[in-house]
Amino acid sequence: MQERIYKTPAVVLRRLDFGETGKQLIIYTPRYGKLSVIAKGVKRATSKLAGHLEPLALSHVVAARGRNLDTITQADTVESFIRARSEPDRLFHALLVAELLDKLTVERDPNPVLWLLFVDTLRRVDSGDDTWRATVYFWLRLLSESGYQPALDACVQCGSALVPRSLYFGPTAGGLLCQSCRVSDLGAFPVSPNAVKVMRAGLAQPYEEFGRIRVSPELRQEIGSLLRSSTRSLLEVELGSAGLLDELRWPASAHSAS
Amino acid sequence: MRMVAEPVERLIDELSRLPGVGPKTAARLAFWLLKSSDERANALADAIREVKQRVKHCSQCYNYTESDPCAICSSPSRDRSVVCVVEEPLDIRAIERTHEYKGLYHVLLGHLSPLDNMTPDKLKLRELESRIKQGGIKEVIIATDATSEGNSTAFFISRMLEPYDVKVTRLAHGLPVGGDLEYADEVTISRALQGRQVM
Repeated sequence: MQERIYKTPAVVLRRLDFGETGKQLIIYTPRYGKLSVIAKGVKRATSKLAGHLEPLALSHVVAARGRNLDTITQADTVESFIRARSEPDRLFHALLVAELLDKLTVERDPNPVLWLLFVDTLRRVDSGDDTWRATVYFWLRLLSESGYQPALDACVQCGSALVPRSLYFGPTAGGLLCQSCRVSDLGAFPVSPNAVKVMRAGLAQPYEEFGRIRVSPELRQEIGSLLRSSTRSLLEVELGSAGLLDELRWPASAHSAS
Repeated sequence: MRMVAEPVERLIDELSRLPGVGPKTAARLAFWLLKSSDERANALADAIREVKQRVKHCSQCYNYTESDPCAICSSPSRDRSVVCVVEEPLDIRAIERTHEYKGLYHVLLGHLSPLDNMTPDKLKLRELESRIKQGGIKEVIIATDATSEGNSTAFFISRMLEPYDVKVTRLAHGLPVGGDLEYADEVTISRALQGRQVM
C-alpha cells in the first residue's frame, strides 16, 4: 500500500493560484518525477512554508496524499540557489531550464538521471561563470533523455553522410538534412559545421569537457536559435523564457563571453 | 432527469467560475440567493452590472477607476515625481492603507511568468517607459511581490529603465511582522541581515 505521507527532495518549477491564500505547485522530484501539489496559506506574509517553496529552490518537502492533489505539510530549503534567483541573467537562464523541464516531461514519470542533471544545472547556473553553456548542455541532454535528441550524425531523411559545406537543420524532421533532402522540411535552415560540432560534444561529452570548448558569441546565437526552433516545433508553442532572454539581448551577457 | 431547475444550474455553474469557489460553495450560494428577498438578489445583480459598465482602467496608471484619470492621478496633493510600480490594483489598496506613501502608481496588471505565458508584451511595461520618457519622474519604486515572478519583473523593469535618468528602488525584503525567525528561509534571513537598521 502506498504510504499516506511521503518525504522527497523537490524543486518548484511553477506556481498557480489556488483558492484564497494557497498555491498549486508543479514540482520536480527524483522518486515521483513531475507532480502537481497544493501548498495552503503560502500567500500569507507569515506563512512558514512560503519561503521554502519558491521556484528554483531545492527543498525537502513532506506531502500528504489527497484524492486528487497531494498537499504539502512541511518544507525546508536545502539549497536556495540564491544567486540564480537574485541576479537577472542567472535567473532568466534558470527559468528557461525550469520551463524546458516542465514542458518536456509528463507527470509521475520519474527519471533520476534527469533529476541529477537538473539539480547540477541549477548549481552551475547559480555558481558558474557561463550560464549559457550550462543551459545549452541541459537543453541538449533533456532532449536526449525525453526521446527528442536531434539527429546530428547523418541525414535524418535519407541516412546519407553529411557534407560540412551544405548542412541544413530541419526542426520538423528532427535533425540534420542533406542538400537534396532539405526540401522535405519547409522550415529547414542552413547550419554551420561548428554549431553541429558543439552540439555533438554536448550530447556525448561530460560537462567538464564540454565546458572547455571555445564558443564564439555568434555560434552561441546560432545554437540558441536552432534549439529554440527545434523545441518550438516539438511543443508547438514558443518558449516564454527564451523570449525574455531575447529581450535582454541573450546570449550577449557578461557571463557568456568566451 | 434534471436534479434542479435549469436557471439554478446555470447560476451554480456561473458562481463556480469565481476564484476560490468550488461546486459545493457555488451550490450553497445559489440556494441562498434563491431563498433571499428579490431586493437583495437584484442589488447584487445591479452591483455586478454597474461595476462592469462604469469601472475602467485609468489611462495613466491602469488602476480601476470610475473617472479617467483616477482620483490618485488627478489629485494635486500627490507627489508627481515618484511612481510606485505594483502588479495588481489590489496592491494599491494595501499600500494606501499604510498612509505612508504620497506619490503616484503604475499598475502592471500582472507579473512576468514565462512558464505561464506572461511575457513582457502582456504587461503595462511599455506604458511605464512612456511615462518615464515624458519626464518629471525622479524615482520609480518597484513594489512587485517578493517572489521569483516579482523578482523577474523587478529585474526587467530596472534594466528597461537603465537608459533613463531616474532612480530605481525596490521595497525592502525581510522578516514579516509576527513571523517566527526559526521558520524563515535562508534567503529571507540573508535579506533581513543585509537590510538591518541601526536602533
